[in-house]
Amino acid sequence: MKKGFRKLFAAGLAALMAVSLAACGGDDREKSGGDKAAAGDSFVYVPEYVSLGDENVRLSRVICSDGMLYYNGYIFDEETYTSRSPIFKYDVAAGNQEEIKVDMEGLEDAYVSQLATDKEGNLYIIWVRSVWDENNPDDWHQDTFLAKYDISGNTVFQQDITQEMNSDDENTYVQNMAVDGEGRVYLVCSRIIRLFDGDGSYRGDVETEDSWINNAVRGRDGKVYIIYYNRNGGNGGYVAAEVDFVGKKLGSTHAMPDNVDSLSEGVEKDFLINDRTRLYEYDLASETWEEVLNWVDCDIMGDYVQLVCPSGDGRLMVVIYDWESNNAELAFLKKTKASDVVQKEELVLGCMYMSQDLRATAVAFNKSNEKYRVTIKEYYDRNSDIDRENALTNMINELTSGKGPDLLALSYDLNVEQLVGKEVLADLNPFLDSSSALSRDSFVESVLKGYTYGDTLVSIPKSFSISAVAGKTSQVGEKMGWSIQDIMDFSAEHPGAELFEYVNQSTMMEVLMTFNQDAFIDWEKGTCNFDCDEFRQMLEFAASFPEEYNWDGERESTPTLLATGKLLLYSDGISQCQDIQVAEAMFNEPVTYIGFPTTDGSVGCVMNCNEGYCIVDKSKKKDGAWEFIEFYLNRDSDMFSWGFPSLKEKLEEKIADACKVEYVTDENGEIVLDEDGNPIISGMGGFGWNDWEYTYHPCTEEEIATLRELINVAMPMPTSNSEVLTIIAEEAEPFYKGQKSLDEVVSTIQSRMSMYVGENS
Amino acid sequence: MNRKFGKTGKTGKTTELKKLNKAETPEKMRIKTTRRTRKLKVSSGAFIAPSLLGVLLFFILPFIVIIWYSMVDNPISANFVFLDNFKSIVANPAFQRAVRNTFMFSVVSVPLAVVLSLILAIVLESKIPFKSQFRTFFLSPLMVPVASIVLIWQVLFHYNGAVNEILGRFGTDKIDWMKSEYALAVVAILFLWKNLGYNMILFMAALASIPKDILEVATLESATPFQTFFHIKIRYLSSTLLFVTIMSLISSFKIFREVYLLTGDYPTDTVYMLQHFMNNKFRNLDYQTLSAAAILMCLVIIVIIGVLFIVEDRFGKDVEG
Repeated sequence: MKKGFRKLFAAGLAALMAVSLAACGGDDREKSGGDKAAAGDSFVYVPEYVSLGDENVRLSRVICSDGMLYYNGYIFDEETYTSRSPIFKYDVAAGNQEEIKVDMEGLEDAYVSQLATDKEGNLYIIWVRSVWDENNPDDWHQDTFLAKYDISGNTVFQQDITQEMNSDDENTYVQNMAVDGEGRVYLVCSRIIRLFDGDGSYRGDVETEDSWINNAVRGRDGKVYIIYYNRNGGNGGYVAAEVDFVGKKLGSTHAMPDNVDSLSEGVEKDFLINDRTRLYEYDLASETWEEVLNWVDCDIMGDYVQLVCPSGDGRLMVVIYDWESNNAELAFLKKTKASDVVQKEELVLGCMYMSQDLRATAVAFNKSNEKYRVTIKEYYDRNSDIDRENALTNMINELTSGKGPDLLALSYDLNVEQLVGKEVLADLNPFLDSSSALSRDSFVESVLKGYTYGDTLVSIPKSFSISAVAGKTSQVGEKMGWSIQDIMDFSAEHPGAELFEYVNQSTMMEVLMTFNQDAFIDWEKGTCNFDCDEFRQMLEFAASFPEEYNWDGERESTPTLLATGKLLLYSDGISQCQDIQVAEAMFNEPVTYIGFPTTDGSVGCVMNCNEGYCIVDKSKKKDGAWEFIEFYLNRDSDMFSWGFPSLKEKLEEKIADACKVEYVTDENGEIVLDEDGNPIISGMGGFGWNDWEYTYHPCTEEEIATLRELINVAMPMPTSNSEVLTIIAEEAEPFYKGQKSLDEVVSTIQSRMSMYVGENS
Repeated sequence: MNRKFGKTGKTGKTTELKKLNKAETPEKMRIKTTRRTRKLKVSSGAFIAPSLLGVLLFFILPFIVIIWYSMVDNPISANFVFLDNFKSIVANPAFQRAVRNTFMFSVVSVPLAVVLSLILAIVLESKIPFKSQFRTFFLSPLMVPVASIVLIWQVLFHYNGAVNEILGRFGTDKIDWMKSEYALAVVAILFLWKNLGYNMILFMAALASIPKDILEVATLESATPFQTFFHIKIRYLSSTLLFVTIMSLISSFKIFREVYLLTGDYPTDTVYMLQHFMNNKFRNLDYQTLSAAAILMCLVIIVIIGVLFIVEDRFGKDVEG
């Protein structure tokens, strides 16, 4: 009996172990969308589009209530130079739209600032009118009105709330409006909420302890909630809080996901949240949110989504406004089984963070390509517990184990050289050579060179910008490029003047090491010589700078400091052709782009790439991946990208645009002349400080020549040797503070670097 | 075999034989035994299987994978390169340095850990006041988390720490301990401070288990304490000595945790240990070199432990059963 019991007990234990092993590694699907389930029971949201308004109407505000969409537009008449702000109503069920005519008495020249509805379908509008003093154009103010209209457009009340809005200087603009279930109005004004009851009478304010309010919405319970960033206590981060109208205070806070772009009443739970990449459904009671869909998977650009609400027939209605084309449309999303939808071959694109440019490109590619479809796998989710470093590790582990995505988006913290060394990234050269849409000659050479490691071309970024250092030609000479000794001598020749702005000891050392990390290292032999005189001089030079920069609030502006010689060098970021004029304008005399110092005296100019994609070598769909890269590089839209195009043709177009001279003309097309009889060049924009202003001019040939030279020599910042900078920074600190001698510090740096170099050679 | 069923007397068949059931003849008995044995083996195997599976999955298979990793150029293309990875790390100056430092550390600190803890055990075994308080005192470092220990050590041995403060009062210049040639000594002190207590307890238990009558006989036979210790006690302690040495050796390799927290990924060449090399290789995705280094280290440890077992076997053979 005893023996039998023992056997039974042992068998039970073994069974328990086996069961517990089987359960480990279970997939946590709580926060992931239902459409990620195994094939056979996965769902997708398929959009059906309906055009909304016409291209002359720029969609401004849009709200939804009880099967009706209300939105206002902006129409500018180019012939009469007048504008108006009509309000439209769209009946979702009937599929027709009409303009709502409201009584404009007392609201001449006013425009619609905010729209809201109550549960009965009454419309609430904030009208704003700007009023200028005829005698003094700088003196102007805004009149603000709160109006309520019934379903037929008849005015219920119209209140002038200018006095309440101007009761303080900071919270004068209505950025959001909501109406609760009892018809009371809540106006969000920067950091406070102004309360008005059902007849438009002002009832007081609710404050948020100096937090900016992002959104206000009526929940399913009829109460109004605001979203703001809570700086205090355990609930730090974005939170939702009920606004207590009677008590004039905020209720308890509920944690929200980061990056809430817009909020609306929920379908089955309290709210629908759009963060531009995904749509979530949020439950107030449990403070949890569940992904409903990913916008890219629905072929919708999340940034263009103005509103999401239930359409009443089981579908989700999404109002989309494309800023580029000025096109507004409705997308009705129907939840459909994935197996019922036409299947394309999936390309997975891995990224740390899904940028706007990537989303826009993926949506456009998915709509246009018949064979492939891109799915974006974002490794770093700010709403999860995994921090960025661990997310990067996960990505690298997947890549090196052969389970990575088909495409990879470059990220600033991704060690590309390391991945190339491990043969993780495919060489794009064969694809480029055999492409019918692109050719090697069509790209700026330095871009291709900058992203070639050994013989492997890993990526072709679509656009780039440049960082370079400029100084007065009279001081630094005409020749571009200088050595570390040169910059030290230059600084010694100008005692009392700042070399760079906002620089301290450690940042100066970083500047000196920007292009010189490998100067003291022989990777082939596995040796280093940081105990040489040159490195000692660099440390001593860096030590001559302040430990901490003095951020004096009353400091003169940068242009003034440069022009007066109190500041010697300017670190310039150049992302458009006209930026090449900035340094000379600020110095107020000719400049030379001397660059960051290098050990060999060459020009140190950094190339910063906007967005670049690589093909993962293990991918079985390399051809499809290349199709995506081709599509991306050839795409005309640069709505979400900046900088100089990598394609020569587009770069030349930009340069030609920047050099084009356009004059101010009158209504008859005649050139307007100034007092001296000279034509007036059309403004190209500009910028300034408090005491200094600059307006760009069409670029000259000399400026373009300088820009071309900088583009030719620019190189991406090396990422592989960040450990070098880290070791130097750690060991140099006691020397900067005077605690250790130069010899001690150099000896320690040499010892640590020897280990690093020896290990990695 | 039961003699009753073996050689029978002149009568040939015995009464006991007659009483045998036909089914229980020697042949049938053997079959029954074999069947029973097989059944026992199968059921034992079934119960051991989960543990065996676990060992296979978490120890043996990964080890095989590591061997495979060490013989390819990278996990993506997986070209077989045989011993090239081993050759490259043996020639690697950082690896050579790491081996030297790890060897020096183990050679110095492991014997110290064994000898000092044995001495402490002997002292605490004698009749001294506050014995149990001393025991607690020596055991308490075991309970302190590593990060806390490192914090204490940083406070003590930092460039601006307590030790330099005290030395400064005697006119000595400050020493950046963890970046000087004394770094390994500091780490050795940390290692001994942490591990002496545990070893001491093991020795105390072993000392308590030595048969008292043998010691009494030795005393009666006018043996000196020295002779008693070396000729009797040491022999009885041999298995514990082996165990403590092995555990100390393993702990000496695990000192990487403390050194890593004190000095980071790339310390100076005086405290750059094998585990630094391997940890950095892992971070840099260089799994091939990492695997090759791990296998080399494993082989060396096998040899050392093998030698220790042989020594223990020879030395303590006569006192073991």
